[in-house]
Amino acid sequence: MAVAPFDVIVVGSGPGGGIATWRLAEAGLRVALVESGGRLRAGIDYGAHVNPYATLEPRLKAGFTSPIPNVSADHWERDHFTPVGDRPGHGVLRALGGRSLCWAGHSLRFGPGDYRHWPIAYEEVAPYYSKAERIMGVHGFKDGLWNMPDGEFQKGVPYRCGEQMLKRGADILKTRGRKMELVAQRKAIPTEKHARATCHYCGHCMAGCEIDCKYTSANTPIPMAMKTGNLTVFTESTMTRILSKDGRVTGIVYLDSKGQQQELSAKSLVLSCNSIETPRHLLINNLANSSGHVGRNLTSHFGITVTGIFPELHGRDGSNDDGTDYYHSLLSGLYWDQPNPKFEGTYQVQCGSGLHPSRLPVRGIPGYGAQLKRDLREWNNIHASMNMQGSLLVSSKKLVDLDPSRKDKYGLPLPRIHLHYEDSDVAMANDCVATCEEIIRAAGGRVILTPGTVDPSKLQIDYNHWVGTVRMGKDPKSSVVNTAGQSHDIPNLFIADASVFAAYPEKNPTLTNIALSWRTADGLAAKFRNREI
Amino acid sequence: MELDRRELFQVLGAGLAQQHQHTAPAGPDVAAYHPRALSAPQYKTLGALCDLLLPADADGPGAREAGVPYYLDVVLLYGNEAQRATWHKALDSAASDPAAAIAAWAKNELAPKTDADKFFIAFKQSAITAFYYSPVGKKSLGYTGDTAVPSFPGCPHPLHHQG
Repeated sequence: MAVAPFDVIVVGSGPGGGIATWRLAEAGLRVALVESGGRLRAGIDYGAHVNPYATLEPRLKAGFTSPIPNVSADHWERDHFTPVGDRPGHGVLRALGGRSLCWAGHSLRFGPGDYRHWPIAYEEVAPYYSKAERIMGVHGFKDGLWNMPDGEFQKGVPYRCGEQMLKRGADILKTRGRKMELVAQRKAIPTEKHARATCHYCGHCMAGCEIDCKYTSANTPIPMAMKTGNLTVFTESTMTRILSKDGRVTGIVYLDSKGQQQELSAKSLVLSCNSIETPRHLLINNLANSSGHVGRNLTSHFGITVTGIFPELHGRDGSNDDGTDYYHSLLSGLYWDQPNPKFEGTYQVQCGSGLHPSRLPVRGIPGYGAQLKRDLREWNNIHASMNMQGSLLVSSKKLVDLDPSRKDKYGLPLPRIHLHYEDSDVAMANDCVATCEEIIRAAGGRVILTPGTVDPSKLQIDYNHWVGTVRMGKDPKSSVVNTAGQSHDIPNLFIADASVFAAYPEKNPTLTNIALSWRTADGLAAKFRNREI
Repeated sequence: MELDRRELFQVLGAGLAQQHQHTAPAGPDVAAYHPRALSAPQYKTLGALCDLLLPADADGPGAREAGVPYYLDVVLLYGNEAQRATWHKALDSAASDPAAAIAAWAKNELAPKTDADKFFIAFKQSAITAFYYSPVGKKSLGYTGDTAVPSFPGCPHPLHHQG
């Protein structure tokens, strides 16, 4: 069946694609959203409120690895890439909403200091942060930090006891001249009246919010776009080729749910496939790469974990610490004003605590018997954990390219992810370990888990946080898209995902991805109004 | 596949409709369970090891009564043959004196060398997971969560009040 040309095809329905789709449809454009996965329904296809003893055998029999449903563990394709170097990871979640289904909701604005390394200023993005926070239902406290500006917050969620101890430790370090702030997390989880359900503090956010409280593309912008009547959604539809002619994209070829090849044509194309898949498709189609920078400038967050226990918390009531998942607070503000000469960039530390039987963070206690059982209860009840999130140094050693030998089931080359930790990365992690240990001890705690001196084998990459591979910039020789997210080479090709990030601070990427994609989509809609497309 | 607009809204409403249904179904009768991955003697040894690892105490029953042997047998049933063979061998070796076996394994816990040492670490971590998944394990922690509550008060400790 022939399909009439669309104004815009958006490929990928994750955080960037979801918001772009709504903005374009809202502007009156005829939009096709193409998503390689199907629908996963909150409360039906995922939801972690189960009795694991009742679900164990049915789920193992069905091929799952855990009795507790988890939207990422159950549905990710973890081998859709070739790793090169220091254990890179990558997970493709093929579903309507993409990886917005399995994020923790952490929503931190990049600050004016962070945008010094971008071709656009914070003030240009700030209005989009505000709009995004309102629609996402972000909760938080007003902390007044210059480089992590406050937003449009619903009421904040307080610390647990262990995180309160870490705050005490951080405050003591501040009296010794260290620059840092320990603040409560900011998450896209409504705590007050909102268009979505209000949080009921069950703590299963990352596993997939079964009441659709946590923001996802699937529960907010895509239904809003459907309401306009301007959107057609193609699920289980995998793009295999980008069509182009005379320096412009004209449409895509995709395989539908029955494996049949189909074509869509449009006046413009928005790629929102993520920071690995977007450059992969550009490289496969040999498009938009006159700069040679497609796939370059790859970066992410990486880290280690330090855990302490606080005897002062003995006997506290830990009966329900579930809250909004594990990390309720954040150590921030490190090296914003004065960089550390031993490494480039900086890190933040996500802080969590609480007694939760299904995650039980402190479990490596030696021994057995009655003492082990007492220690498991006591140590988990009085612990706090600190998880580093550092910005990985950008260099020629980190990139995405095409694997010359491995192909996916559609015959397309798989992406290779090259990751090699460098001296700056290791120095940053060692600084973080020392800082975390100092905070725990200053608060009266005892360090029970630490990597000690760090080497690359101890570092963990955050495979949800890749960015930078289709970099934004003003110079077409050193960047792929301009400050409007538009290809320097192909005027009707736009990128709306985190691959456009020009530089990467320590802060989580999703809120900025959504704000920028909103801005890019509004800019594209304006070009249609001005007949520039 | 084109997604129908009405269908999408039905789907999105499904999660909201279930937001206050938190009554998880009852689990199997673990006391009446007959092992399928392990032999009856191996299952008996596993039960003894479970109670040595996480015994009954003032906080409640131990790992055997919690159903941990059932859980581990089902995991092994859907595991691979090499994994089952490792467990069969270790459990057979411990059959005559489980207390002596676990004492010997635990001595090398921080620097495991033999297959038996490595088995102990796998057994211990799996049993801890299974125990705290069980109602008995949750009760032993004093845990009452995994439910819907209207607010999250944060740290209730009077000395740690968050301003």
